[in-house]
Amino acid sequence: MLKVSRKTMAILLIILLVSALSGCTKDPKKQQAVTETSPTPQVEQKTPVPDDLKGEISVVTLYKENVKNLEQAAKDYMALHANVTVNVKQMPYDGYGAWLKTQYLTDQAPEVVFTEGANEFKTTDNIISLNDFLNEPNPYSKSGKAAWKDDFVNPYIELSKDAGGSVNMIPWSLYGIGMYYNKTLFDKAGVIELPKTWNEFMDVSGKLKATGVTPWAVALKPSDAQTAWPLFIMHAATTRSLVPEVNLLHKDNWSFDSNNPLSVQGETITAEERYVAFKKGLIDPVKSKQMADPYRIMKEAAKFMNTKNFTAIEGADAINDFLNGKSAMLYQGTWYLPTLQSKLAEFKKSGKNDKAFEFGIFPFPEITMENTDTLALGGVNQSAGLRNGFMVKKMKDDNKTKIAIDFLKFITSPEQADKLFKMEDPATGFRYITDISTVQGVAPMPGTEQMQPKQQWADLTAGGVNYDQKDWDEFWIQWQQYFTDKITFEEFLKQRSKSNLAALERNLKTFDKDIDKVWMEKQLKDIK
Amino acid sequence: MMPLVKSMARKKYIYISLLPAFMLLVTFQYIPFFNAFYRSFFDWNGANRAEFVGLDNFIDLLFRNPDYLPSLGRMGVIVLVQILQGVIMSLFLATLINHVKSERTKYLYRVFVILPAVVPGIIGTLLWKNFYSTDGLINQILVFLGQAHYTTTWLGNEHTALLAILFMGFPWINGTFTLIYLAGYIGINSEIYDAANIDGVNIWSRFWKVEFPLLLPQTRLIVLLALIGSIQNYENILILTNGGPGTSTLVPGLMLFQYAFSYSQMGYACAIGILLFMIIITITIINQSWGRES
Repeated sequence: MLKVSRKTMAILLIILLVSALSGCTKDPKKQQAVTETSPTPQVEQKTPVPDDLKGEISVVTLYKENVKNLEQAAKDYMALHANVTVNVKQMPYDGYGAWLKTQYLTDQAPEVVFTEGANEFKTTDNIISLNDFLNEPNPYSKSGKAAWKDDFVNPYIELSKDAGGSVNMIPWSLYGIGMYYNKTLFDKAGVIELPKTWNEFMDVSGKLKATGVTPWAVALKPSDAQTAWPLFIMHAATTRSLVPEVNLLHKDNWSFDSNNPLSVQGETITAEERYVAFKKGLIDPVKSKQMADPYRIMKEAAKFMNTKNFTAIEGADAINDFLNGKSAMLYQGTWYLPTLQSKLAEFKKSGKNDKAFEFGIFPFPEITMENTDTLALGGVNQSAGLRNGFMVKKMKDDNKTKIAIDFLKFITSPEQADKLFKMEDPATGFRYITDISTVQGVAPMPGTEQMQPKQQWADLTAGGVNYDQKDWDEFWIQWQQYFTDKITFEEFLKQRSKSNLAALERNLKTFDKDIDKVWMEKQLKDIK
Repeated sequence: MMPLVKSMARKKYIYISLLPAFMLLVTFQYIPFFNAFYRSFFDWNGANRAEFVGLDNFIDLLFRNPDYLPSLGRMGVIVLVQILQGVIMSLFLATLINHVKSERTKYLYRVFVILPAVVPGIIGTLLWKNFYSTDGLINQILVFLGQAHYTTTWLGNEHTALLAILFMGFPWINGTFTLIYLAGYIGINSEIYDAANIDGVNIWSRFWKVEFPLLLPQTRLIVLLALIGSIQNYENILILTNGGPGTSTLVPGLMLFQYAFSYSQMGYACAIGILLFMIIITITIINQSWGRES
């Protein structure tokens, strides 16, 4: 038998121990070896976390519910970067557009703004384009993906691009919208099956109205988009057949497949394409049935709404009507769920059990060929999409830009995003963020599964309700007049057409530098 | 020229002490005004795009924009009503207070009248918005008085929205204007009252033939202040109706705000502002000429 000295045994044991422990090292090469059978493609982490950042930035959010998450993110980030300060503040949602514009005009805007829409601030050259940064690797992500943009759910980076192809906002969360309904009122009206189609929805609304309750309370104002959101999804469906005729400036070898949502990835309808399409009559509400029918269909629901006061109340009042049991349905997004749950819990806690109703959510009823013959290529995708994100101010100080981008990479790394989305308010027990994350791998909040942003058909909305803010404001004036029968359908379409055309002409001026004028002139000549 | 320079040199410290105030005035009042005048000839988005368009903004406003002229008409109605409210109610209250015998009571009334002025106006506007709601105070009063058939959505009905805005602030007592009238009353010589008493005038004649003519300077001032205030004011409308329903309460001041901050058409907004300025300056000149003649 081989005699092994104690010294030799000790050395062998030490070698064994070191070999075993070396399996736990964070050496990326070893990591790759361990995980090389994982389905996610792994790329060697070459980009180190920057350690030379020094400075201070402000991050402002519109949303009260995001303050705690962002404060946590700032805290975690500052723990990694001792010489960086990230200040998180909240600004009120109401009137934020005007506030931000004045802040940018006076160069007082925060470095990072967490907002809903960024494109208008790009047109006024207040924020930077993020395309190049998104192609860089994210040093904070452990997914192993080559580029920062690869950690986001498809196709939401593409969807956040403006007409010029610039990504102006790092997407953070997606919204889903569904029809919240009062189960108690539905039961009282004898509604057994939830409506799936528009005609079924009309029947159900009729039954609810017969019991004396307002089936659907809305405010016909910009503060309540309940009647506008259905138009968006209907227009996407009715104008789907027009996409190949409208999207003429596309990538080489592009072809449109209505059954494949990814077939429109990377494609955008530019300002000159829309203008040409309008001039051709394809998306002119007066000449295009695809554009006109959604407006006509939505008007059918007017008789089931709160017609006495829908031009006077605000969106918050319509929501309160649902909460107080005065209306049976409310078309709202994932963001409303915690408010509803906590209000109902409050009712129960304070003994108002008659007010604490059971609720459910169903997808918005789909229009079919019975309602319009323009659904040649598929039906309606449920309303879901990019809700908000982070935009970065255009700054002379490159260091601040660097810190801002680095912070955003940190916060949108899958691990950090997962942590932040799962944070719960200790007072209510509900998550702060109820929306769906744009970052891959973050599970949605329970109860919002019906609002998952499933895209069954390719959507590249050829023609829509409005093309700029002024058009949007004019839409609401015309919509009120149409809903209250002050103007006929034909007059409404004429006014919409005029407003749309004016907006498209303004867009041509706004995006003047990005427009292919030669192409546009040729197309317009061919029309003549 | 030399005597002027010498005079200025002698009083140089006065001019030096005035300089900071003058520079602030130039920086924050005159430069923005002249800049707005300049920019009104441009299609300017307030940031990176400015294209010279000459009088196009003004021509569009006056001849092509379907909302501008009706908004001017509405503004005219609001101006007229608010001048009448400001003059009549303030004069009425000042007259009552002035003829109170006890000085202490007079003082107390003056305090009560001016006290609401310290409350931010927006609070009053929000309260009135609540009053006008479907379940608000106005409708409740109507129901209580057995007039439920008159209840309506005051701010949501295009026939009543403007009337609701005009009625806001009832009984329209303006503390500042009342104090201006009271100051005017203090300036009336008591001998005039003695003479009027000797002539045996009654209260009504005393007011119309003695007091009101002597309060004309104050009336002119109040008319001017009310005029400028109501032309420039749009905050109440922004909060109550935002120009709706439809465009039934849209006024030029609100249009200026929308074009500047919602539509990023700063040049167009400047043109609206310049036209408003021209209206105010014209009326001011007329008012001043009338004052000189009388």
